[in-house]
Amino acid sequence: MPGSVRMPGGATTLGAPVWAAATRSKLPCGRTVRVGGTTIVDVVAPTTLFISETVAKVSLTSGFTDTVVSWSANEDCQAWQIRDVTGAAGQTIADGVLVASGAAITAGVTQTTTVSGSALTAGDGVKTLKLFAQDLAGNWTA
Amino acid sequence: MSSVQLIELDTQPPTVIWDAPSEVRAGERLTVAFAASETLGSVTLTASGRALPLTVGSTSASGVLPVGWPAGLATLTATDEVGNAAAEHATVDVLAGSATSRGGRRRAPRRSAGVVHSTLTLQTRDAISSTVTTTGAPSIAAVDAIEGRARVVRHVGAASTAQVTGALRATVTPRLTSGSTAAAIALTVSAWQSSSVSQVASSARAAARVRDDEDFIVRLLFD
Repeated sequence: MPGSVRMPGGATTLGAPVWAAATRSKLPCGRTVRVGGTTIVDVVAPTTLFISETVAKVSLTSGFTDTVVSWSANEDCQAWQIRDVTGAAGQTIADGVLVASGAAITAGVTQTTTVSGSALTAGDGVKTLKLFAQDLAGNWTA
Repeated sequence: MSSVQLIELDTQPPTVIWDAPSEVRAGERLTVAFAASETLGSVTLTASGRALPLTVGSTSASGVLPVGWPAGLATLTATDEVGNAAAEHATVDVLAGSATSRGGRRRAPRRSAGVVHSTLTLQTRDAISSTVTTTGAPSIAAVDAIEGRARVVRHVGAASTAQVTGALRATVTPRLTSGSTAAAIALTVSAWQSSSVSQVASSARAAARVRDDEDFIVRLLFD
């Protein structure tokens, strides 16, 4: 059917498929690709995990300003952000204050990022950091 | 593990109330008790450009002064776990000589010519105050101290005035409320004519309760 997408398992859905080279498995923004006659739609956001931090408390005093957090994602990603969502209305990529960001990472590989006290939202207290990653299909962590 | 990480930001200094440090000399262990508003990360003794980090416990800090540590007043400073420095300091009187030569004659702490036209206010538990005037040489070093031993002679009457004579040696005779057997005394400086006073040493503040015929130390630190 013109303008339709064949889902894995034989399901069909309406849409405007974008065809790409058969060697690519995903396209940005949840678009589709035909691989060996099967079209795959990736609408699942990557899962991210903070693994550890070097210190749980920082200040603005020299020598005590930073903590290094270790984290990973469950799939290859093209971008990531750590945001301070303390007090934010929501906890999406659009919320809070950007603390750190970067480009492509590999699934399952532990990353380390330095978080500085000066990058956190102003005022003393416990800050909530959330890790967002964008997979190769363009899905951001919710 | 989680996609959320909690990090605490702490930019406020701790509040520290020091107990009166005991006199100490090089080679001896110094232990000073304190009460702090949060866990302390460091306590450091400094004097004449030297610094000695002390081992910090929950309510006290201690360390052995190395041989050769200079005699005179040293300053205790504290920070919290993330380096915020407490505003409150304490002074430690390091006596001349070392623990290994204890049999020798103990020399007096370093004293220098100084000055001092000043007014101290002794505040008692009963809100009675005494005025103490010191007199002495016409100048005082940029950083120096005045100290003396005060004695509460008798708790009678309301306020009284006592003379402190000698630039660096003081005698204070406060007379406090009739019928009092003890009084909480805090030393505050209300006016200094020749120098500003950076703090009243903790040993004076720590003389929180004195009784009739009881001595306490008066020590003021100038800057």
